[in-house]
Amino acid sequence: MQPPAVDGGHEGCETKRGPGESERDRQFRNFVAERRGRLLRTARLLTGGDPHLAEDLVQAALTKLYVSWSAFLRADNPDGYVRRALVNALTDERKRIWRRFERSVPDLPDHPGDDTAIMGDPELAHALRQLPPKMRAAVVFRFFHELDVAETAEALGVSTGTVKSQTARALDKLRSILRPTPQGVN
Amino acid sequence: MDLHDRLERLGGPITPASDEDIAADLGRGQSAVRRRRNIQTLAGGVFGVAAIAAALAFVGGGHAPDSVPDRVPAIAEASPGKLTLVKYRGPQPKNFTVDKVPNGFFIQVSDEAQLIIAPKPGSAASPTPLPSARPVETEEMTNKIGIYLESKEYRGELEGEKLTVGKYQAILDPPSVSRQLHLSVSPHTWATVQVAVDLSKDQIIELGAGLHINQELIDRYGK
Repeated sequence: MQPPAVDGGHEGCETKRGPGESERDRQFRNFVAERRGRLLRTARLLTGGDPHLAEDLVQAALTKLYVSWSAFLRADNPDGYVRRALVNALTDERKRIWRRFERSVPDLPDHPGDDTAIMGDPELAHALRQLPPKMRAAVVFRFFHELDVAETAEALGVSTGTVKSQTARALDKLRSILRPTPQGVN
Repeated sequence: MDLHDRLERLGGPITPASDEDIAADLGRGQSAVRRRRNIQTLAGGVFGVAAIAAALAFVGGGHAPDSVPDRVPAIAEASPGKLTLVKYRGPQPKNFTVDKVPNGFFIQVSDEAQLIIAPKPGSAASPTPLPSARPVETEEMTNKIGIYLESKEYRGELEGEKLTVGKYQAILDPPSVSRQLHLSVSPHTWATVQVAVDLSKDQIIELGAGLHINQELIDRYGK
């Protein structure tokens, strides 16, 4: 299966600058139009299927990208830059309160559609939430986006050795939580 | 089904960004840039060379997204010294009550989800030194203390110093830009005190010991 890009997918929706809009505004608007949906999907995984936290994460990451837009444009690895911004938003506790108190997974959502992701695989959502954030991110980047160890290390801001050990511990923990299936967790 | 497929199902479909989403993201970015400029102006005009040096030292470490210049130090530009805790004399909120707050701070937000303690505009600790200025936005947690309930399940295993704070077992995160004190208020629930102001470890513990949470709220969250 082709690994999905973390934020990729240029769909060619270039727009002209609106009245009073700077070049940065125009570029950022195009970036958000093209990539927000994919960022949100990654964020849903990074937050263990929590749609509210995922939205918070994407908003925080996009705000940081806008502030440092010129640095983002100059980055050698723009995709890596975006991944790092998402992870930093996941682990940055300083800027705001993260309302992590979610309903227990088996509960039905109050509003249809609110917990679409959890409804897709509540058992996996529950298991991912048992992992510390960076360990969860290692799983998402390695096994969903299929990044290599070096790319994952760059996204997490840790060494490659740490990625290997975190990934191994994460898989052990997931195996212990998830019910055995014919294919298991592989 | 392998892990990749399960993750794909959990991640859900890619939904295109709406015009409202895009406009809101752009607006948040523009606001953040304006805030950054205002802080830089204040640092230059009010707090002088030491504050600028502190800010430069903080933002000068590269261009990775975690070091973008909006991450100014939590308190260095606003307060030349450590804060002191004083008895809180204002009206007590319904769900969270506090015995003490840092001098010059007030309860900015209180609802069922959170308590936010922020510096009063015009106080020594405030990044907005003019008394007539609006307090910083409620969602911005720099220079503030946030208190909230959170699920132990979501947090996973916590690392830090194990303590007894008041009647609760607690864990204090290692020192960082901000610190968090997690009080175990029920088998399922942490009450987290998130401190992004200049308080010592003992002061954070004192603050936590003076925190009281409505039992009904704890029970409701822990269900």
